[in-house]
Amino acid sequence: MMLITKTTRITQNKVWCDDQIVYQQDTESNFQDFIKPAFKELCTPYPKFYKMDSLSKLAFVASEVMLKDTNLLSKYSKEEIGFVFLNSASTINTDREHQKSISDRTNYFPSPAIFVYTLPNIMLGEICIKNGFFGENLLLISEKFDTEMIYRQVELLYENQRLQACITGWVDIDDDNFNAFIMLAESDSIVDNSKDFCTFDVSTIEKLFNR
Amino acid sequence: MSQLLKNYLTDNKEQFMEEQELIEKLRIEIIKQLNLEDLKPEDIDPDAALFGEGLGLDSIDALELIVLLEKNYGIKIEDPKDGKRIFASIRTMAKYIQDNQKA
Repeated sequence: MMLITKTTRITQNKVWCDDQIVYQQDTESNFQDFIKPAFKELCTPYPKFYKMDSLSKLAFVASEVMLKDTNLLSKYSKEEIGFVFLNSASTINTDREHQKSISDRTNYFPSPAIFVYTLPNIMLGEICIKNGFFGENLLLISEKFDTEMIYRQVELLYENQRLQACITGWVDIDDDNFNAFIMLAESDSIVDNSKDFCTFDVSTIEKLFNR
Repeated sequence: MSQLLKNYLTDNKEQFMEEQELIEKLRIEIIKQLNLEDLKPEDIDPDAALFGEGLGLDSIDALELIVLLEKNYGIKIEDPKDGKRIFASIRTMAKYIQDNQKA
């Protein structure tokens, strides 16, 4: 069985860690005006952040907030920590940016740094590189947050002993509309059971996502 | 001072000024192109290595620099093996641009 030991949510103007608001802007702003100050306040300096596309920036800040003080590599091997992410818009913002750079044949200068982010699973790679995780990672495109799919995929990896800890959830951005909700699911054989963690099951995931 | 020497010194001074201006321009362009948001132009030593120990740029940054040369200066690097020499530092880039724009 897996337990949900931590969650992070990022909405249009707030960052939550479990039930606590850890960062807030008074008004809703565009994504870049929100994520950069949030990153500076919540994360340790990491120059590569500024090179990431919007989807990776969103996933990165969410993961940094959630993984803070978890020290996962002291409990699991690097191959036992992995990801199952879902999103709807894939890398649409970056795709648009890339398209803009190639639409004029007389001014045709596609940017390699933009092009590399036209694959949504790059956001998982960024988190893996930062944290040294080597486990299975999966990114699925789904019209909306699909609790069953998340549960099934994480359970499959856990039951097949591919993962002992999984960072899983929804990270989505289209233009300036963004939303992230991620959970840390860990094996109950490793987690401190004296703490009151929720079970990783369909109804709990649903409840947490819609809270 | 002979006229010949005067001309030589003037030419060299102009060339030096051109190189300095180009270095300043490249510092700004590189920060913008490579999203080095935590750096100011004056933080980049024109003689420091761009890759490895210096600015710590990666392979994607190298491709971006190739695009920068072509887009901003109309210079196309035909042989990728030349990249290591051209992109050793900001100064080597500036020198390469000067040499190849004049050609």
